[in-house]
Amino acid sequence: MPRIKMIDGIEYPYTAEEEIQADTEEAEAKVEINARKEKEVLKETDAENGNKKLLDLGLTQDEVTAMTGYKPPEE
Amino acid sequence: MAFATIDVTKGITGTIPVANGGTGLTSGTTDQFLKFTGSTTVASAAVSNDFVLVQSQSTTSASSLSFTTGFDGTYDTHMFVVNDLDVSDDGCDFYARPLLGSGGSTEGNSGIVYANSGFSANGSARTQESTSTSKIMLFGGVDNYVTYKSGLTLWLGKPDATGFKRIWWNGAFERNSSGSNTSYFGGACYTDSSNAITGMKFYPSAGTFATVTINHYGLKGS
Repeated sequence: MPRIKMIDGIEYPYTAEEEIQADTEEAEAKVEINARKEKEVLKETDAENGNKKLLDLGLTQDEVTAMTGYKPPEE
Repeated sequence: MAFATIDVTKGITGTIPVANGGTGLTSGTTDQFLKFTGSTTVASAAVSNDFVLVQSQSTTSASSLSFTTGFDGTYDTHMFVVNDLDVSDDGCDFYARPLLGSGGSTEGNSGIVYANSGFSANGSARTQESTSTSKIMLFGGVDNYVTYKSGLTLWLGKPDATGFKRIWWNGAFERNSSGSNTSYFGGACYTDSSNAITGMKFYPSAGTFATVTINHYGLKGS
């Protein structure tokens, strides 16, 4: 379906050139978003693993959280 | 015998002074208000228009909303209030981009620097940044969920200044994961000294707005 843009309250259809540009930007944005999600998952995993290692050393969760800021997800 | 009533349309001539409970006026200016202009003087006065609603736009189907009215040097600061924001594509980003040239006819799709930071209700911190990109990321990963709509306020300072142009914002939105009501704030710079910003475009990274209303206000003397 062709895209619609609204400028100062009036709707206009995208031109063919604008559609191509929007398709390109949308594809680039999807790559950026996927990369960000992967980075966030890795960060969460690293935080969880690091937390577990500190607990295994004998620290309490409160002590670990005070040092690292990491809070385990609520069940 | 005491008077029961007084017919003021017949019994009084002249103008009642302020000191006697009157206005001291025989006429006023249409659409203006009464104001004390001295301790014993009342006069017509216009409402201050230093903070003005320039334009309001709403859509449930457009892929972008652009504002090009009011960028003529009248206002020092432009404020955009985004309300009722929902998107068609789950997890897309919400972007803004400066418009340039006469009537905002050209997109300023380079030389943008931004950094933003968010904190979610589940305790997770979010940050995004770029030292050179084509758009400003206002929110990252917006939920397509009609119950949890998003909102933000964005300011654009001195859009016609000779030098870099500053943009800043804060808001709250629902990320597309559970428990992720997220507060966000950010700042951006349009690093083009030669071109004035003559409009602003708001758009989701994919699909369309499902709902949104954006009000554009102009602030003078700021």
